[in-house]
Amino acid sequence: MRFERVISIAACVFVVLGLGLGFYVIGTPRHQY
Amino acid sequence: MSAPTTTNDGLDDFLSSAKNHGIPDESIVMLLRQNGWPERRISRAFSAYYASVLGVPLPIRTGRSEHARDAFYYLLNFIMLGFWTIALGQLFYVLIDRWLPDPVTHLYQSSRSLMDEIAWQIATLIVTFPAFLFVHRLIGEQLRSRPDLYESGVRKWLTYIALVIAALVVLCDGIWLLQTFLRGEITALFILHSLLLFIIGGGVFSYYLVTINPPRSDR
Repeated sequence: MRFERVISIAACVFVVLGLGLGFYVIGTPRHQY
Repeated sequence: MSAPTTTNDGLDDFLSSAKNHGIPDESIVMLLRQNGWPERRISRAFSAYYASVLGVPLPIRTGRSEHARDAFYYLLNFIMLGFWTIALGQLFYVLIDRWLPDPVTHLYQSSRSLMDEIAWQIATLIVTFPAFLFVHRLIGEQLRSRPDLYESGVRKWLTYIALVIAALVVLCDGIWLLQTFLRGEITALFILHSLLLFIIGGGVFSYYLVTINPPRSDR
């Protein structure tokens, strides 16, 4: 597999992971300070 | 298709007369330059002369519109790249902060500001990442159908500028990490932040460094 393809797939995984975690965090109630 | 237009300033008549007397092109060009004629006007006069001699107008290359189109695609591509990489970096930065809270700054963060920050970065990612993929795909299709576009000056310039910015991010990250280490203030949180910057900057740098030249099979 070409190097640039590996980076593209890694970028997509990174974005999906970031979005997933971000949605998880804003969807989870958190205690107030 | 029409022949290049002629202007009644005597240059076209002079050129025809000089060519009829067998004076070589180089001498005519040198003489005209020395007398202050602009390059464009000289080229136009030669185009008109050869079009009339050969009976075929000079083919017009669509180079300018190609440059403008390349600039449009690549500028859009790199602006989108900047938006989504910064948003992704900020998003992970905030998420890392949440999991490994800094005892000093953590007290000043409210859950509201955290949520606002994450929502902003998610929105930026959702809008700009698909746009980036779309433009990137269009550029890829063009390059596959016309490998000569790999040599486009606009493409090379903008890609090298992106490479410089990505390299600066990685270098500044390295300096930041080393300086913090030397001051003895290195923490797990700091290493994760630094690693994040290195992964994003290094990824962009290596991707554009590898793809700036055509693949070996296309050469």
